[in-house]
This record gives sequence, C-alpha cells and structure tokens, in this order.
Amino acid sequence: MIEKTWNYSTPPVSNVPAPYIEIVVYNPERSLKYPSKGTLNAMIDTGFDGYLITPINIFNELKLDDYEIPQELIETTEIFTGERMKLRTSLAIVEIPGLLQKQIEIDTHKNCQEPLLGRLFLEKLITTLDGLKRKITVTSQSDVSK
Amino acid sequence: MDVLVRGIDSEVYAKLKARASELGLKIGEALTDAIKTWMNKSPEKNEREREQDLNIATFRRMRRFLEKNHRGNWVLIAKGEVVKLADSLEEIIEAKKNEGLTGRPSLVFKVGETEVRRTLGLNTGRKTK
Repeated sequence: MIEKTWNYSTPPVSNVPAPYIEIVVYNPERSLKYPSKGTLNAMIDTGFDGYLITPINIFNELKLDDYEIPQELIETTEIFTGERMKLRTSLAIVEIPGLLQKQIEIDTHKNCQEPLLGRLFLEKLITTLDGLKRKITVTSQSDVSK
Repeated sequence: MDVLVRGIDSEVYAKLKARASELGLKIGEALTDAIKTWMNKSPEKNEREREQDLNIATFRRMRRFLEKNHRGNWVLIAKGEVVKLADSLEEIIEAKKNEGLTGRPSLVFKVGETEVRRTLGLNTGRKTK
C-alpha cells in the first residue's frame, strides 16, 4: 500500500479550508498533459459523483474532443439550484504522481471554475480527512504503473 | 486602455449592454470577451466543428445498428465514419494513432454501456419529506 498526504488549502470561493490533492491529467494517448510542468490542485468534492470535472480551458488544452463521448449518451445534470446543465465528457487519464494512474471519464462545463475530484475517482482508494490537522491522506493498493 | 469606436450598430450595442448588465460585467469586459470569441473562430476551428457535426450525425445514424449488433464493443467514430470496433479502449487508441487520426475530433464510447449521469451537489431530483 502506498499513501500520500497533503495539507488543506483554501478554495477561491470560500474561507473554509478544503482537501486538495495534486494531480496531472493526460489525454488517452498520453501525448499531452496538463499542466505541462508540475501538478494541478484538485479539490475533493464528495457531492460530485463523477471522476473529475475541470474548467473548459484544461479540456481544450488536452484536446479532449479527440476522445469525446456523444452528447446523446450524457444526461442533463441538475444542480441544487434547479439549474440544468449539459456537461461535455471525454476520456482521459489522471495521475497522482507516485501513487496511481487511472483511466477516467472527465467532465467539463463553461461554469466550472476549478477542478473537482468526485466519488467515482475515490472508489478503490482509502481517503482520510483529518480536520484537526487539516490534512488529507490518500492510500492506494494498486501499482503506480497500472 | 481606452478606444473610441465609430459605426457600431445601435441595436447590437443595446443587446451587448443588457447582457453585460445581466452578467455583472462592465461594457469593456463584455466587449473584450466578445472580441476574443470572434478571434478564436479561425477557419481551422470551423473545419473542426464541421467534422464534429459529421461525427455526431454518424453516431445518430448508426446508433441502433451498433446497439443491436455490437453491444459491449468500443467504437471510434472519426471523419464521419465508424473507423474501428474493438474489444478494448487500448485498441481504439492504437487504431486512432495508426489511422493518422491523432488531433482529429472523434467520438469514443462502449456500445450499450457508456452512459454519463452526474450529480453535482445536492440533487433536486430526490424527493424530501
């Protein structure tokens, strides 16, 4: 088992510190990655039941319309305000450097302000939130190369 | 910076002003945004959009046939054609590279299985007591 720990960070839209982890996103061919250097901070959001939703600029930089899922196979998403949104979804790979790589479905919407990792991404991982120390630990049982 | 522009259509300007006000933007911010969008509409992008439309049309035309005959297979639609049917996504990625389709807009999905349903925050679809 391998684990990594990160300190909480403060989201742009809130004063309450939140669990963020560092990731890198690749297109399915692994010929493009975001960010091109370093890592991207993504907030853990258990209210979101997908893998990863990102702002549209990340989706565009990775040219993810090269591997897009047809709109007819994507249901309209309704958020708590009652607003209905049509997401765009593609295939991608997410890496937590040194911990895991995972083939995922990646969503985007023009109103998405920051990357969010949802419940599908957390499946098969042990995620521990330590509110006292404001730390998040993710433990993976799988091999990093998979 | 400040720029004086003559000859703007009054009706278009009124709509821009109303839309900017709705979004809480200053006129300059809304106009900058509109100019950026216009600048991004290069001929290459239009070509890409045409190819995307072609792929969508092919998906709609082929959907029933694929669901009847190829359930469980991965499909690659590009250039307005079904380019590859495969057992795994890895084969689709290989085919896309080998067919010189890298960088071309494509649709990829698993027939009868790929279905995206998402909840963001609390779902209003759920009844409360």
